[in-house]
Amino acid sequence: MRDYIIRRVLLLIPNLFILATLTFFLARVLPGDVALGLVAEDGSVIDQEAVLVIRERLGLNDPMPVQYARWMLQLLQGDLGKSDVSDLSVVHIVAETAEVTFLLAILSVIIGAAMAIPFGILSAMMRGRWPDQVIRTFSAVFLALPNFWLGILLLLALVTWFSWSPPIFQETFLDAPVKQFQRLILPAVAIGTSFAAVATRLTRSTMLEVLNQDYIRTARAKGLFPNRVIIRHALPNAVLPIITLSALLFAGLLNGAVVLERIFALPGMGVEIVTATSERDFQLLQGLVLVLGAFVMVWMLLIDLVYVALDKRIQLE
Amino acid sequence: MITATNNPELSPTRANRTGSAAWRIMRRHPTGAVGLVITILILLFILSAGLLTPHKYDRTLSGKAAPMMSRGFDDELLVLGGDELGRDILTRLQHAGRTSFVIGLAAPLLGVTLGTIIGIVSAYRGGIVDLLVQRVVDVLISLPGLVLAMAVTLALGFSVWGVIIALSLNVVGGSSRVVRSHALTQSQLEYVQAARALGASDLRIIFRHLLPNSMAVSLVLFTVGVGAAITAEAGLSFLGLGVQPPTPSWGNMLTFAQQYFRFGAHIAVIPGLTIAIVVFAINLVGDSLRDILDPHLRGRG
Repeated sequence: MRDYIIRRVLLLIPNLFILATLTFFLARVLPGDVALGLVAEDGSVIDQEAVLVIRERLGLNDPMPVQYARWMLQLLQGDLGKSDVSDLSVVHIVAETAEVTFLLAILSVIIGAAMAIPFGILSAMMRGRWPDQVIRTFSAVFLALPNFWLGILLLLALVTWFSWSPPIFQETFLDAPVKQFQRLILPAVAIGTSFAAVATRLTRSTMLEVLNQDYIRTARAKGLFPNRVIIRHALPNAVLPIITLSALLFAGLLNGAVVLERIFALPGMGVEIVTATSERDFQLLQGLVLVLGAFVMVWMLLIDLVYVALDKRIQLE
Repeated sequence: MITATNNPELSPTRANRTGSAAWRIMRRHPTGAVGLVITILILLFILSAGLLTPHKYDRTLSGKAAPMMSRGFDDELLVLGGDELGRDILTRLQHAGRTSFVIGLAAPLLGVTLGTIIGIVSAYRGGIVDLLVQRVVDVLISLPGLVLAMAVTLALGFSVWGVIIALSLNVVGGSSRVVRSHALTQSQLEYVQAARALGASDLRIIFRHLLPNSMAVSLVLFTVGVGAAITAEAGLSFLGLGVQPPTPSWGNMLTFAQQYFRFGAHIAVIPGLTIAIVVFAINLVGDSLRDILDPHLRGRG
């Protein structure tokens, strides 16, 4: 067990290294660079001199290996550099935008799980009967709805029928939790529903598997109340796969967040990545993608460890 | 005296047998059959682009967001109405379907093929190769696919091919992981050891034994991938980073839906609903296919 944890944590190092390398090249494959954009902002005629000066200042004229080495050295010092466009530190921008994105993802998971677990259990218990059919049909339908489309429809329905639009403000969650919640709830419902569609199916199938096991039959034979069998005996074992799934889907949730942030005009990492990509702000783009990827990696690791700790059946070599 | 009979039950021809087998499978998996029928109908709808309506997909025929069943400037009938530029939505839907379907089929095909080969080689070689390959896969899995796809389409240009390659990258990581775990158990089985004992080369074992045996898994991954790719294309196009106008795709038909929704809800509803129906139908086929091909998963989902 201890060896396993140490091994997994040590593996994070090569993973982060590959991630950093990949983000570097992901930025460099983009055509053009930031200099043209910065110069073109001032006038229609592009001043070649100015372009060269900016490239020199940002180190974009250096050979690729030099730029790569500089990025890696910078990372080793725990520095994500400065945005090429705004001159703000990348860490600062990440800190400002990460809150919205991660809150959105977490809220979506909560909403999704709150729907998926009860519906999945009900569906498994009523297998083959009408509640099961209804739940399965709905989950199949919601699985097919693109979550950003759901977001557009939700937003537009509220705007047209109730003339309500999400609040726009700058405060952080700690300063204005209620306002932040109001702003995030709709996109979270859109992402959460898609997540629930997958999670309901999974809950149902694991629940069915668990309900067929001997210890459930024993518990029933002992004369325990059916509800108690479900809650005390079946549920704890069925929840584990859902936790794992939520880890695996986290990268997918962030996908949804990228698009929904755009629709709901949320100042999150997704919108920032799109802007950084279109402005060719390499430093900012690399920093954002690195943080996002690293977060998902650490998250998946934590979930794996929790899983191992909770499920005694897993044997580790 | 023996006489030839036409009774199919007594003289089953090959075609007959496969025909009835297909029928039996359809009977056992009615949802999959329904999904298949819907998918075929939509394919016919897409392939009939240019035949079903007399309009051009890039021609303005009416005012902004003409409602459904309305008449255009020259009295043409716009069955599903006009979009934000007054172009016929029905015609655009058909042409856009070509783009979306080509991407939806090609991206998972490319991605799953690559993922299958990577997964099998990684599992079979084991050791340092496996360790290194799986680290890269770790990274691919942990990056939000849209972010990866955005950079790749920008680099390759907003062509259909650019989008296909970008979206196939999303599939490679996940599918290679699944195929690897399947191939890991396979490579422990006697038949692989027997082949090795007979002196078969690594390449022969991989291509003649391991690859055919993981086909079922790959096929299921592919079907699941089609729906996902169509949705992902829509998301990418919606962000303005997918296939560019004037080439229509179901995704870029939604790009301006938000701004013009007030003029007519159908601009946003129709393309989204089309995507939903297609993905729904393909998912139904995929679920049934998984039941048929992968006995371990039978009864799940």
